[in-house]
Amino acid sequence: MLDIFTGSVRDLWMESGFMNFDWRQIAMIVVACLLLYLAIVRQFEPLLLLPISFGMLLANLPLAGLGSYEEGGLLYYLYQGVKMGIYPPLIFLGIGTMTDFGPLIANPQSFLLGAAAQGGIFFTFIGAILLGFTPQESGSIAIIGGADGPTAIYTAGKLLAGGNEQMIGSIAVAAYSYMALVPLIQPPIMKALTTKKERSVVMEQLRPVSRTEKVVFPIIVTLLVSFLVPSAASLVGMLMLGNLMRESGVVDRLVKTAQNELMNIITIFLGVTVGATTTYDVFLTWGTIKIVILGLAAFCLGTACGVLFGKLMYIFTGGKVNPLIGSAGVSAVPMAARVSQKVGAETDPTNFLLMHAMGPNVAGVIGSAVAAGVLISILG
Amino acid sequence: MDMQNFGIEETMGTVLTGFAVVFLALIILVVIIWCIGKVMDSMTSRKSAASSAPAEKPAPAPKAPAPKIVEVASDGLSDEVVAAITAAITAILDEEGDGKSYVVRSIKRVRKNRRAWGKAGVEENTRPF
Repeated sequence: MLDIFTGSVRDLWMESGFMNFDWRQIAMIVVACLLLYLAIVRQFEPLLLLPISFGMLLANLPLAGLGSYEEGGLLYYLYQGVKMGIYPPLIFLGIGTMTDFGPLIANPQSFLLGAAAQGGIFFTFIGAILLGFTPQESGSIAIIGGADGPTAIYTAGKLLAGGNEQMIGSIAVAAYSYMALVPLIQPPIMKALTTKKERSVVMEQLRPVSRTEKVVFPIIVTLLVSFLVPSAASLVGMLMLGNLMRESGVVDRLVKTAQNELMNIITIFLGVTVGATTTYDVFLTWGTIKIVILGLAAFCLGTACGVLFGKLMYIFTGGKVNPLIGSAGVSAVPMAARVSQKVGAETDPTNFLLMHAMGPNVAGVIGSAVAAGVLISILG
Repeated sequence: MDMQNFGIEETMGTVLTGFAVVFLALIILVVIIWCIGKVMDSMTSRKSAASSAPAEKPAPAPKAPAPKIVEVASDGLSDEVVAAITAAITAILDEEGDGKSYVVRSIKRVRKNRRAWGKAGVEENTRPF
């Protein structure tokens, strides 16, 4: 009897995680705990970072088989929503119900800033090609510059299907980390590219926008963008469906569900499964480091393009546009707009740029969805 | 496009297409939204022109705020403004205690184009910083 006892204890011990781990798994678990610390104590985007980092922890448990690629595991099935491009558009539905396009409708020129800030995507695409990534991989990395998590995951999922799918995790982690770091990354670039005089421009108050305009807006954007770039239709379509539900004011119950329960459920699934793509064998590689560097470059370039285009608008409007709102053209709603507000207020505390910056900010969401559509249709 | 030999030419082509399409899409949106805005503007201004024809008489000028303070004319000020100024003066008098007298010589508006509630709203939204 004692033999059986010691035998089974030994077997259990031999089959336990303690005897079967790879040091890289431990390294990943440490990284996951670090990210958990950032999420819980420092509160960096906790709604996303917490599920992502715990997913990372789950995926690197020895022998547990919880990685997103390990067929049969719980997270494998949930991951299909990422792989098939189901979660990102549903997140967009929720974002649509929370977004007020009013500032953009009141000042349509903001659209141009939202377009210019997508420059980060395309310049980074060149960089990624030069670093030896395939065109599909380059497109997926470059889209980090759109500063839009769901768009990045959607594009990477579409472009990398059947190829180097493991990269999706690194791309998502890079995209969300940089979005959380927007308040640190953007201000130095914004200050370096503008003069004090430009930063202190006080913009005219926005005109009030009628309800009819707000209702017509999502329909027009959906029609135009989907006709022009059909591959962006699922992102833009869902975003605008959410927005129409909000602005129409007749489906309050649906709006509540889309912006609360549905959005939260999808955020949990998306976060955990994206985190769980970062198994040690695919994450601890040079490729990941390159992605992290290129992602940062994409973010900085996007910010710079936005600010520089803002300067152009400053010149052409005879000093009526504050170039600081240009940096908000990288999506990252509403963080990037808040950064514009903050940097503007540093120069002149009575200057309120927030609502002006919301225009380019929400235009950036549309802009990066269009850019994603273009990349998917050219490279996909 | 040839994905196997993706050279500099293909890269630049992709970048250029991307830029062009993104700008094209958003420029068309600018034009459309701008046009709709103009149409809306002209419609509402026509409406308001029609409705504002029987011009209302301006509200009668409110009385001077506090009888204790030097009598001042409050012409053109709304009740709310008068109330706010009175409250501010009372607050200062309370802080300073009795026995001191003040004369209000001028009252300056801090900022022209933003109302206090709007400001409060903006502050609420930007609090994390």
